[in-house]
Amino acid sequence: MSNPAVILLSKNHKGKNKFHIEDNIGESIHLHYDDFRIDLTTKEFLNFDAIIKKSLEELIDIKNFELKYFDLSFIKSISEFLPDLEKVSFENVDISKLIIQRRGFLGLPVLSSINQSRVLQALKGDEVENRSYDQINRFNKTNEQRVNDVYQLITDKGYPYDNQYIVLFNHQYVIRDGQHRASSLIHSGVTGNIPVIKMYFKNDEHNIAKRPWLILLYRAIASLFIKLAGKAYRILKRFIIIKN
Amino acid sequence: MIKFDSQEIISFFNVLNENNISYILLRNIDNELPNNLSKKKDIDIIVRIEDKYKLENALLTNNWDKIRHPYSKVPYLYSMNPCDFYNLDGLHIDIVYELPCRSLITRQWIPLDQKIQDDLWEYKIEVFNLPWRYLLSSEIEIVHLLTRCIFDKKFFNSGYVLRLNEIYPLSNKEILSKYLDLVFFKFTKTLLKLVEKREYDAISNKYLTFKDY
Repeated sequence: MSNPAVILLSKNHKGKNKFHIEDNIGESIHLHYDDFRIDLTTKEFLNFDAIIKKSLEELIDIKNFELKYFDLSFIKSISEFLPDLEKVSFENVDISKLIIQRRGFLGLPVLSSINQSRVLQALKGDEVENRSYDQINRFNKTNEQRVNDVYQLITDKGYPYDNQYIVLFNHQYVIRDGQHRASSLIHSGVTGNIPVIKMYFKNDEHNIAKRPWLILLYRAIASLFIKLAGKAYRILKRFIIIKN
Repeated sequence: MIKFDSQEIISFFNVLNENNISYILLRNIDNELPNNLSKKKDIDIIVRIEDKYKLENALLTNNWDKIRHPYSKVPYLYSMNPCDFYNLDGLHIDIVYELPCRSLITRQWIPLDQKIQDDLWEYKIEVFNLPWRYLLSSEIEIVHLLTRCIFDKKFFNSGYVLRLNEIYPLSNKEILSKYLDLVFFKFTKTLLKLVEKREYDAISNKYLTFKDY
């Protein structure tokens, strides 16, 4: 029996282990872990979701670490950092000091002032960079709609609305979550200090490098080197076998 | 509208009939066959997989060309037999060997449940005084049209709606419900109500937002 309406809700491939969650419309929710599968009704899945959220908050037993303050897709994206989390605090920072990561020359990541944010540019009418951005966590919404919706929400309801704060790591001013909110605040004329959440990790880990493009380049070169080394090893192995 | 000469269409079915190919005409939307088939459309049939090579020989010896299927790059799942595509002077024949549909998100071809595949041959309807000999049973045709509109086309065009309205009252609702269960699971009840009320435009949205399972 095959369900044509399978929607992948989430996936996480860690090493050799594969985990993914599928919604099989009308049938059940499937949780796959490698060859193992659990079938849940939507009600069971929502209960399971609530238990997982509660468990996560209990596991990360740190003051102020409450999921209500975060976008869950952001938490998923930093899940591997969470064991290193030491402190979560509400602080005020000067909005003009905020920094965003954007695509620079050849699409390589660079750090820039919030004033150069693609979202702020879009709010000012220049949509080019924002349109090219691959958005992963807002379904059925174009990049333009998301920019306008967040701006509307901030102007109508204020900031922070529904406990959703801009998130920074350690002592950096790089926005890890909340570029739309920060850009909307600047576009609506906010200056001076604004409240943010700061997540502090042990030994100042998980900061963004000052030159993120250099890290990316290093990783690309390392990956290429590993591939080439593997190929050379296979050629050599075949050569030795033929010789013998 | 530029149309095919009906004789070309009749000749095609003659090849199938004379060679005892086991086939069923999948659909004849807006009754375009055999006299009003637009040059932009093709003929869709299902053939028993056992007759695949008999069909190929019969068509090739009658000057048909086997050409690349327009969706040849779309992956086939669950060991589904790839579709074939034949052409003679612009008349295209789309041949499937299982009743298929496209998966909603990843768009691969998947065969409908085996029960449907078996029953479509067992309960095919013989027709007379027409170029083609067999049609799908009303129940299986409804399943086919619904899956095609919901998964493949993602909308209900007027020709499909007319045909659904025509055959739905003739169908056995119990049998239809059993077939639909194999594709739509617990959404079947809602789907049947929407078809009954002819609310076709609401189907896709209700399906995607359905959560009572």
